[in-house]
Order: sequence, then C-alpha cells, then structure tokens
Amino acid sequence: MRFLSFCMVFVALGMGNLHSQPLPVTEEPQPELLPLYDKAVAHLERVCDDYRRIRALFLARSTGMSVEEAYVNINTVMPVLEPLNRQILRDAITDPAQIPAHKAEAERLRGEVEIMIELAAKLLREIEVMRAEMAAESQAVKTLEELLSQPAYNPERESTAGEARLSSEQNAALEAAARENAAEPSKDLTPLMRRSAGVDMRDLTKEEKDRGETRDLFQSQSSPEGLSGRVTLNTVNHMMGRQIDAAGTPAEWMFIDTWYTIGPFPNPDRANLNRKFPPESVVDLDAVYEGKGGQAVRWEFVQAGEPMVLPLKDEEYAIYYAYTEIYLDRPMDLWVALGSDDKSNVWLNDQPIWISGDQLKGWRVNEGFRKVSFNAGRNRILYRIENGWLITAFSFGIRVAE
Amino acid sequence: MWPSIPNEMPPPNKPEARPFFWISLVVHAVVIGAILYFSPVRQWVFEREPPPPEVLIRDEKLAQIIDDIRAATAKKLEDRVSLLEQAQSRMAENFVTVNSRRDLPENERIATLRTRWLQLGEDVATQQNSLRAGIASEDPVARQNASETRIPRILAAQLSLEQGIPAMVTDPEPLLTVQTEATQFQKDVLPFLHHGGDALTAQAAANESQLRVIALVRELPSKTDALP
Repeated sequence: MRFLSFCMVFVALGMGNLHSQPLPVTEEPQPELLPLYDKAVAHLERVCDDYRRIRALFLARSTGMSVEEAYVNINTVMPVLEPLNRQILRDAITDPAQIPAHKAEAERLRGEVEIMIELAAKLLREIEVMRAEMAAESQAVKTLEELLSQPAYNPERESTAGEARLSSEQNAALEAAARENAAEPSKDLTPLMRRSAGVDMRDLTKEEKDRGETRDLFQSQSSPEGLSGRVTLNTVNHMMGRQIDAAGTPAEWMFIDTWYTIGPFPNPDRANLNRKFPPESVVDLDAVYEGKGGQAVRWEFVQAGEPMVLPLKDEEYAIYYAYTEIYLDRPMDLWVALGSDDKSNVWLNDQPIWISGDQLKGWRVNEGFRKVSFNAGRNRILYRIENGWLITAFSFGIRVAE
Repeated sequence: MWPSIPNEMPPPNKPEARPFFWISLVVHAVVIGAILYFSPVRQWVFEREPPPPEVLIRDEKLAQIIDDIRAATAKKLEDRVSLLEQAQSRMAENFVTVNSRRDLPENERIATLRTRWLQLGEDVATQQNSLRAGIASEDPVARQNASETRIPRILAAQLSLEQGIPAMVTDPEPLLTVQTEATQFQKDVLPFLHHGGDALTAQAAANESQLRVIALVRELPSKTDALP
C-alpha cells in the first residue's frame, strides 16, 4: 500500500513537466529600444566624423596640405559595431522561456550604447582636456556628463592655462628631430620635448649628475657615443618590464614586454605609408575597426619574452599599431633604443620621438637612439609599424643605468 | 500409564530471547543510516531540489510584463542617447572653434565650413534616396530595416546641418528657416512609416526640400566675398 502511494507521488512529479504549454501569441508591443540604439549610432557617427575633421584641421596646419586632403588621409575612428540580434528584440514574446534571451539582448544593446558614450567622451577629452592636466597625471577620467557640463573648448583659454598641445612649429621641429638620420643615429630630443610640454619637467637625471651623485639606476649617459655598438642582445645586460622605480632590479636596459597590438590595416603597394588609421587619432582598446580586406581588427594583448615583439597577426603590405603604458616613479630623461621591421613611427605621450626611413628593412635592436622626456607616473607609447613582406617586428628599449 | 514427561525442548525462537538480534539490528541501523547520510542517497532522497515553481502567466499578463521591461530599459536608454546627441553638438562646436583659430583669411575658413556642410548635405540626400528605395520595396523587412537605420542617420545629420549654418553665413535666418523646414519634412515621414499611409510621397517631399537647401548653399560661395 505504501509502495503504491510512493509510486503515485513519482507519477505526480513527472506530470509536473506538462505545465509549460505554449501561451497564445500576444500583441506585438511597439519596439522602442532599436530606434534608440540606431539614434545612438547615428550620433556617434557624427561625433566621429567631426572628430576626424578636427584632426584634419590640425594635420593641415602642421603639414600645409589642404583640409580636404588631410581629411582623406585620416581614417574614421568610428568602430565596427557588433550587430544586434534585432529579431529577438522585435519579436513578440509568446513564452516566458523567451524572456531571458530578450533580456540578455536588451542588456547587450545598453552595453553597446555605454561603449559609444565612453568613446564619445574619449574623443571629446582628446580635443578638450588640457595636456598639462594629463602631464600632471591628474587624469581623473571624466565622464561624458562631466565633460558636457564644462564650458566648450576654447584654444585661447586652454593655452593660457598651460595647455601642452604642440603648436605646428613645435610639432614640425620635433618631427624633424625624430626622423631617422643615418649620419646621426642618436639624438637628444629632451630640449624640444620639454619646451613643447610646457610643464614643469626638470631634467632630474642631469641634476643628479651635476650634483655628482651617481647611482646604478635611472641615469642615462649624457653622451650617446658608442651606444649602438654596446647595445647588442648578446652583450647587453637587459631585462623585460614596463615599470621604472627605485625598487627595481638593476639592469642596463629595460625592454618593454607588454603591448596591445592591432592590425592589419591595408597598405597596398605601400600606398598608405602616410595615412592615419584610427589608433593614431584615439586609442580605444575596446574598439573594433575595419582592417585590411574588410576584416574586423581589434586590440590584442601581446606579452613578449624577448626584446623583439611580434604582433599576433602578420600580413604583408599592412600597417600595425602597438600601444602600451609604462610607469616611472618620477620624471626622467632617458635614452631609448628603437628598432623595427619595416618602417615605424613612435609617439611618446603623443609627441613624435622616432620616424624611421621609408626603406624596407629587417629588425635591429639598435637601429636608432633618442633621448626622451618621460613623465612621472603613466607614459603612453604608440608604435606604428609597417610590414612590407616577411615578418613584422619592433622593439622599445629604455636605458635605465649608466 | 506412564506419566507424561514433557520434552526438554529449547525455548521458543523469540527475538527477546536472542541478544544477537539486537546487536544486529543496531549495526544495520547504523550502517543504513551512514549510507543514507554520507552518500548521494541523502541528496536523492532527502534533499532533492523542489521542482521550480510553475510559471503560469496568462497572455495579457505576459504582454504587460514584457511591455514594462521594454519601457523601463528604453527610459534608461533615452537619457543616455540624449547625452550622445549633446556630444554631437559639442564636437560640431569644437570643429567651428578650431577652424576659427586657423591663421587664414576669413573666406578660406568659411569655405572649410561650407565644404563640411555640403558633404553632410550630400550624405543626407544619399541616405534619403536609400530610404525612398527601402520604402518602395515590396519586402516588409527591407522596409523596416531602411526606416530603422536610415532615419536616425538623416535626422542626426540634419541636426548638424542646422547647427552649422550660423557659423558660415552672416545672416543665418533665411537659410536656417529652410533647413528647419527640410528637417520637419523628414520628421513628418515618421507617422506614415509607423501607422501606414503614403510614406513614399512624404519622403519624396522631404528629399526635395533638402535638395533645395543644398542648392541654396551651393550658391553661397559667390556671396562669401560680401562677408564683412
């Protein structure tokens, strides 16, 4: 008898699955999310286009080309957006089981809009926020709301407030000094960089030397003579890293080992050697862009175990970018060693520090040396590398000891 | 007669009489208890999750829930999207400011503003043509896609067109009026798309109106010389 009742309980439990009968189709509600999303995309497109136009104005001013020509030479920074599943958001929900999928897609849509807002804020910051603030590392990241609540960009006001944006003359002078010159592989860019930075950037390493202080770390020799001969991977005492402070391990050179790389961007027959792709305008590590052959390209993390860094992808006739941030416990003027396969440009905190010749070449660790000014705290480094054929490679070494 | 002598038989087999019975009973109870407690049997038998509560929602109720979710998400989103709209205006303002700082004659700076305006105007005209083609399509999905993706782009660009006018002409009012009209023509297409009607004719009128403004701006360069 008891067994019988036990069986009946089991049967009753099994019957429970019959509850989820499909419900009748409901009236389709007016979808509002998709029009809002499309509106957001449309606004972001306009933001990106005007940002590109402003960059074109700066480029035209610094190079003397026409604004239209400069505009064509700068790629859009509008990212490629992951398509939404519009059907899920449009379809009428007829079964409670459909709710989670709908909710997830709605959340994704909201997330995409938040990414757009972040990008818009980044682009506005790029135009409006004073470089002096950046140099002082007071970069409390401003939200779009905070930016919009401030008065609009006024170049006169910003410059009197100590803005460090390069004038076209300063930029031209720095670019000329950064350019590779076979007769002069080592150049000291610090006077130009400090002048253009317009902030209190003292040459602390020089001050220490003048005081007769000698330390194992954090001093780049003032004379570049013999530098290239000394820096060969077999002989030089080097380590990998991206932080320089008093507690660091003593070494002669530190090669940066942590990078984000993006590419390939198209460069058919090396036609785009001077074309500016989105990372040159704004570094947005979340962005996806249209790259070579229409493929979607995004930033990818690369951890290098040796000075020569190889991007994860490697295609011929393409342009790649690498981005990293290094940290110093105080401002320093240090020698850096640069090398790439093939042509490369390097910016430190948006200032050009290296422009190699246009010729195709192999990677050498000691291709060129520049003495550059690093800020205390975060320093942003952007590397642009062209690949003609065979491999793409680059290196960034910092001399941290005498 | 012989006296009856009872047989000396063992006592009857009663449990009470056997001590091993109790020992065995206790041992069995302990072993079975241990198995039930320490093995998954405990979970299967004693701790089985109750079946999820049955969701029995009537269709009207479900529709109401979905509407509420959509409305709540859309409300949150609306404020965020308006932030992007402000960012668009702000970036456009930045363009005008940076352009005004260029060390060039006034007419060259104005020419840059007009080039931007005309490129934007051409883009609006192209989008409007695509929208017309979409509206004329027999395929309802193509119609929906066209209106969903094109209209926000057209309206966002028209916003920039309106905002760009004051910086590029000395007397912006007449041009601003016709551009506002063109934008309104475009907005007037929306009810037709949402509720049915002759959207195609409305869109044709919107196209025509925008083309008129573009033609007017094209004529402007000759008037630029008259700028103070």
